[in-house]
Amino acid sequence: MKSILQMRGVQHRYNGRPVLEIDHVDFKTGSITGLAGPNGSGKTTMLKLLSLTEACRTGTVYFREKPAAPFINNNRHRVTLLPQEPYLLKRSVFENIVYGLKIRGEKNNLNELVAMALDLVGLHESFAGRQWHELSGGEAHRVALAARLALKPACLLLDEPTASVDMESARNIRKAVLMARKEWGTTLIIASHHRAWLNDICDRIIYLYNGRILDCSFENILLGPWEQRNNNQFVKTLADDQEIFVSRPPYPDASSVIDPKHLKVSAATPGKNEKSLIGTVTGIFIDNHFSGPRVHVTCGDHRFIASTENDIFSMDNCRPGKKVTLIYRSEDIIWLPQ
Amino acid sequence: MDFILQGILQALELLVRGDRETYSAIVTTVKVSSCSMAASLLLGLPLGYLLGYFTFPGKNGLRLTVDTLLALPTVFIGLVVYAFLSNQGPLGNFGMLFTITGIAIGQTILALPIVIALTATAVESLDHSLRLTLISLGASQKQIFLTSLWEARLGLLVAAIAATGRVLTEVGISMMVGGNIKWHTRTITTAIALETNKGQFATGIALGLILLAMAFSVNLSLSFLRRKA
Repeated sequence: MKSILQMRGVQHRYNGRPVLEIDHVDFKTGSITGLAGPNGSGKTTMLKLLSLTEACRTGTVYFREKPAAPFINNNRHRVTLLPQEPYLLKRSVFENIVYGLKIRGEKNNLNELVAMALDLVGLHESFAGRQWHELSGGEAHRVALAARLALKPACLLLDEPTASVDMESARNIRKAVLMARKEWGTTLIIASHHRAWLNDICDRIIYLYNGRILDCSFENILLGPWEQRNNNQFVKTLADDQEIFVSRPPYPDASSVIDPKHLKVSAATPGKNEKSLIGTVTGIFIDNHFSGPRVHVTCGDHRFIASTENDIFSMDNCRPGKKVTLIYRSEDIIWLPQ
Repeated sequence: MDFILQGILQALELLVRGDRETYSAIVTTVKVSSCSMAASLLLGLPLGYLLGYFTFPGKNGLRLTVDTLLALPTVFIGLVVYAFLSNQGPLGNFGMLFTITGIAIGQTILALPIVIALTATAVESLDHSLRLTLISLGASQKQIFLTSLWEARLGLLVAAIAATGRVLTEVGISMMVGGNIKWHTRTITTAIALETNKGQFATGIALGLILLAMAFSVNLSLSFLRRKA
């Protein structure tokens, strides 16, 4: 499948501070990609650059394999962004939805397009006559999404679409964006803190940390400082006095992360080069991007996400409240970019 | 106190009777203020937008200068414009001294800082996510400019009301640049000054009330527009 959007050699700074450094990433046509990462990890900046609403300082964004930038050509008419706090023009809902259509020179069937867009986000077409100040927060968010869907975009980017809406609105937004992909082959890129929502909807999830793409998910972050035990062994002591062993940190307060697939709930004793932690199971869930179930395990003041085998014996051992052993290897703990 | 009541009655009489001299002053006032307001809005709205919307080196200094110009005395503007338009001045060849055009130039200088400063304030107070929203919907730079002005329309109406009030009621520029020539450059404010100097207080009050009625009509129209917006 062809790439619809690509980023190459992007280095972006705000006031001299680096916020995004991406060598290469591409997004396939019709795919749904999630962007996950803590606050300040560069998700919103990445969306702004990809949606051609902001120009790259260094590097290039490609749309359908051709360099693209804000205001330069009509590519921006094929890509659209729903910001985290969408702004509604001080006009009626109808005028808000047709604004983008009028920019594209659309004059016919505006009423039908507005009704279709409102229907997609679960709002009745009578909403078209309402003024911007007559909407609740969730309705305003859905109207803003309807204004994007009316454009039938080739690529729709959503920044925290469910952050400030209720469950019903979140369900409607999910339904609407999936419909856009099904009906028009729209490529979706969604930044969200809502991991379960991302897991459920996305084909792939990109993890960002300090503006860079991580090779693994970032849930199991271990923050410094580290105590040196011998020449090559450093430890972090948890609240219950258990120790996590790591290799030499690149700098004293470095943060590290271990992918859940390398942190396993196991009944076996640790093998050579393996370390263990004892913890209590607090939850178990299915991750669409991983073949087996995932387990929440609390060790001292840390809550880890670990993996387990998908068999009855393992599942029985992972019932909430059970004490379990987590097995890991120090070399699987990777250091995060500064 | 009788002359105040007399002035009110005389105002009605002047209007009802269709006094030619009074109507000439009204027409001149409307012509001059319309020209100066049109010019100051045409220049001031884009300049105010640029000042409020963009960040550039020296912006704070420029903003301070514009804000200072809000307090420009009308007699000082009259003096400067007179100096430029008089035969000895750089624009003397155009023959604009003691003309409606000359007064309109002076009043434009008076109104321009008001329009620029209040437009800049209105644009600055727009939601920061407006630009991102418009670009994400595919708007061009020109469409962003026009839509942003429309979003700030209430603030722009306030700018227009404030500038109109200042232009309608100024006397220094009209007197110095226009020369208060009967049937030609005499505005309501210069007519009031003349009548007061002649001791015709009642006529002065009558003209003042007419000016007030004009200001009221302008504000009523703008207030109607504000409700519609």
